[in-house]
Order: sequence, then structure tokens, then C-alpha cells
Amino acid sequence: MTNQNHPKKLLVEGPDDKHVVPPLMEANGVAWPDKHRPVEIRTFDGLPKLLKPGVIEALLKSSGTRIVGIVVDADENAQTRYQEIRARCIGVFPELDPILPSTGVIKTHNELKLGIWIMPNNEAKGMLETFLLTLASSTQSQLVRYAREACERARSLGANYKNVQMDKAHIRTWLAWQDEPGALFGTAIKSGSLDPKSSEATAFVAWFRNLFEF
Amino acid sequence: MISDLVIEGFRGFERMELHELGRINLLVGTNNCGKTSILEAIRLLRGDRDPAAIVEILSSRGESMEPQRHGTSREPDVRYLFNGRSLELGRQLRITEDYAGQSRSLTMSIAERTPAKPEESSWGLLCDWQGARKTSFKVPLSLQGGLMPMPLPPRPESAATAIVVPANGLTAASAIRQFESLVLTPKEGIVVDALRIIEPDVERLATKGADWRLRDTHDRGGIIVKTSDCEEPLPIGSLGDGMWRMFGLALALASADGGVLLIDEVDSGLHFQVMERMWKLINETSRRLSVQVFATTHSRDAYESLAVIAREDVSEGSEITIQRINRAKGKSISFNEQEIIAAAEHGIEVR
Repeated sequence: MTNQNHPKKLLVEGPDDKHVVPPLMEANGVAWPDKHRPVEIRTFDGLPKLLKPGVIEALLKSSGTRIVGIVVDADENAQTRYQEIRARCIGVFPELDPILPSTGVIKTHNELKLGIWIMPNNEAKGMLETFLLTLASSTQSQLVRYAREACERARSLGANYKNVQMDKAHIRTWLAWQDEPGALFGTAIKSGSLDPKSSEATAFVAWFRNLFEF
Repeated sequence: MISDLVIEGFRGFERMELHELGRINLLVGTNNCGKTSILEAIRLLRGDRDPAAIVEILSSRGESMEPQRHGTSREPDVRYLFNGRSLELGRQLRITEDYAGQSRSLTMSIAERTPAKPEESSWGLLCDWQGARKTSFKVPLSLQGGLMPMPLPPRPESAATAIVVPANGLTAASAIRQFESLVLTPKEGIVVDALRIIEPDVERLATKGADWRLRDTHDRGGIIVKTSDCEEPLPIGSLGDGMWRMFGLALALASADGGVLLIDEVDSGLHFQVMERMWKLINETSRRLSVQVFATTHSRDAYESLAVIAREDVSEGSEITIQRINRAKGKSISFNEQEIIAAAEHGIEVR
């Protein structure tokens, strides 16, 4: 198990989120050395495991914890997803924002700090990949659009990814056309194909820096 | 069942509140955070018919003084009960519980007293219990602030006092005495049933040949066990790891019937593999006898194994809690069953 008592923890749904954050933050001036990670990122093997009653509460109460950030996908509805997270946190943070603001949530209570960000941008429906697509569009908007069209056309030719997985298919299609085709998200951020300074990336980075005090 | 506890001015606590208490409460926290003091506070609060508790609590920590008069017993040093460890008129501590919607409290204070003997000072320790059952008495203090011997009322049979299992376990003499007081009563069966949770082959227990030389040691002589798979009875110690500790716990649970059980260092003497069964014994027997349990531990294994029991236990309500004690915060951090299970599953540090 990772270092249990890191005072700053980021809770994410899965390994993709975990591998996106460090390179994104490093490209924005937050050093991320292997041996002294500024924030401990914990994955939960899927949203239901993270939302299971008791999990977030126990993390908020765990000894040595000072700052907790939670990043999850909106999927169908950002507000609904926020309410699900809020329900788990309200016991420890009674004054948590009733509605999710577009800048994400940051709240302090009794020396404990909580942050919540609903991918892609606290408003739209979607997921991590939706967010990453905006980073791609920043420098390659035509190619990104073309990849989208290709995905839609592929449907009519028998491609059987589900509707809800569109953004995942989309970004991976676009990635297939980058130098190092099919690179991991983190690599694409380091190489700049995914623009870490796009306006959407900057909004997330601002939330992160503010929450974790970098 | 005690639902809330407030401790003021006692030992290292200016103020400490514990809320959302359940049937089994495991107290955790760093060394010296006051876990054992909380057990003592509950014992004192429940000790309106057990004034010897004050003496035992101070003596067990070595907090006593040479007597003024040579040849008499040591005097418990009362200032160690009070936060700040000083004695002056009016110095006070209070312990309050909420129990089934009713409040009960114990206030101990230094009050004036007319000395009846030359060794007595003009101060006394006033012990005042308020609630459904009121009791009050004043114990004389010696000229050096020690508790003078007081004539103790005999401990009544049905005294609803808190039962204590100390960290280093029972002495053989104590175990034998307790078992002999239960033998041939319905509680003997409860002790055997409790042991069967750990060792299903146990049939009967008896005391035999208790050697006076073992009296106050921690040797395990004097209790024998008949198991179904063995023709001859065996000394209880031969049954292996932790059986003696389990026996002590079973006896204590049976004695606590309907009341409160205080276990210091619940994991002491037990290998982590045995701990799940220990909690099973405590959980099932405490539920059966309506005993509320407060236990302390330093051990991660202790709360992770408690999580296993919490997961298997399908009854409703906040039966099992973990309370993290930190003196700097005036309130414990309370973990309910779901949070205990989550903490164990995800390696989250609760201590």
C-alpha cells in the first residue's frame, strides 16, 4: 500500500486519472518527484467503490489527513454526480456548497480542506476523456473534429462501442494519429499534443493548486 | 447503553467528549493520548458502589505515597486524578454520561472537612454521583494530600459497576475466584459457550488444585478443560494461543452482564490471527448479555480484525464504533461500522 499518512490526498476513479494529473501539473510548474510526491493519488477501481458509504468519510477522518481532493466523471449529469459525492462528505463538511460551482468546490472546516472537481468542467456531461479532448482541440482542432467524424462513420460500418463511450473512442482514435501512435495520456501531455496550457486545463490546474496549496 | 460521555478536568483532559457510542467501542490514538484514562473515567462514574475503584486506579499506576504513619498502607495520591495535578480547595473534575436519554454524573472535588483524627487534614475528597441513583461521600485526605483509608461498604452482589480487564490480564487467583463465583450458575454455561466460539471442542471447565504459590502470578495453573476430542482434561494453557486471555474475557463478559466492560489493550497477548475470533467472542457474548464494551488498542490488526466482524454482523444500528482520541481536540473522531469496514478495505489509517 502507498504511504498511508500523506497529508494531501487526491481520490480518483481509476488509473487513467491517476496518470494524467502528475504530468499535467508538472507542465504547469508543480514538481512531482517520485520519492516525494506532493499529493498521494488513490484510485478506486471504479466509481461505485469510491461512492460506497463509509469510504470517503473514513478518508476524511483518517489520521494525518489535511487536504482531500476528489475528481470523478460527471457521466450523464455533473450536478447529480456532485450530489452523490456531497452526500458522502456532508457529515464532515456540513457547509458544503449545495450546488456545484463551475470553478469546482474548495471548502475548509476545522483545519481539514476538501476539494471536488467533476470532469470535464463541473458543468458539462462527460468524463476525463471529454476534458482531454479539449486539450487536444486547443492545438489540433481540425484533426480532433475529423477523428469525431470518423468515429461516427465507423458506427454505421459496424463499430460497436457504446454511445456513452464515444469520448473514449474519440480520443483514442485521435491518439492513434500522433507521433508515438496510441501513446498514453500522460505521454501525450508531456509531448504537448495534449495542451497543458489550454484554457480548460488551466481552470483545472488553478483548482488543484488552490486546493493543495502549491 | 452509554451514548455520550463528557470528561472534564480529569487526568490529562481539560475536556474530552465522546459521541455516537455503540455497543462495542474501540479507543485508538497515539501513546499517552488518554485512552486508558477514559476507561478509568467510566469506571469511576460507574463506581458509586465501588469506592475501591479510586484506590485501585491510583495504585495500579503507582500513584501513591508512603504513609504518614509507618506500618499503614500507602496513600493514593489524589492530585493525579486532577488535570494539572494540583490540589486546592474547589479543584474539581466531572464525568458525565448520557444513558438511554438520562444523564448521570460524578463530580470529585476538594472540599473542606473537619478532621476527625490528627493525621487528617482539613480537606476531603468529595465524591458526588448525580442521576437516577444519587450517592455522595467525602473521603478524608491526609496532611500530605493522600487518600486516607476509608471503611468500604461491602460490594453488593448486584453492583452495577464496570468490570475491568487490565492490560496484563488476570492473575490465576483472580480468574479462579471469578470462575468459582459463577460455577453451577447459568453464567458458567455462558463462559463455556463463549470459549466454544474459539474452540468448539470445549465441553466443561473446572478449577482444580489451585496452588497457593501461583496466587498473584500470571501463571495459568488451576483451571482445567475437558474437550470432546481428548479423554483426559487438560490445563487451560495447553489449549494454545491466547486461550487464557479468551478465558479472562469470557469471565469478564459474564460478570459484566447488563453493564459495562472495560478492556485495556484488547490485543495484548494475542497473535493477529486469533484476533478475529476474539472479536467474535466479544461481539456475540456482549450482544447476548447486553454488555457495552470499551476497549483500547495500539494495534492495526485489532481494528482490521474488528472490521471483519463488523462486515459479517448484519444487525442494524451503530453497534460497533472506533473512537480516535486526541487530547488537543476536545472531541473524539468517531468511525461507524461502514467507515470501519472502508478503512480496513482501503488501508486507511484510523489511529
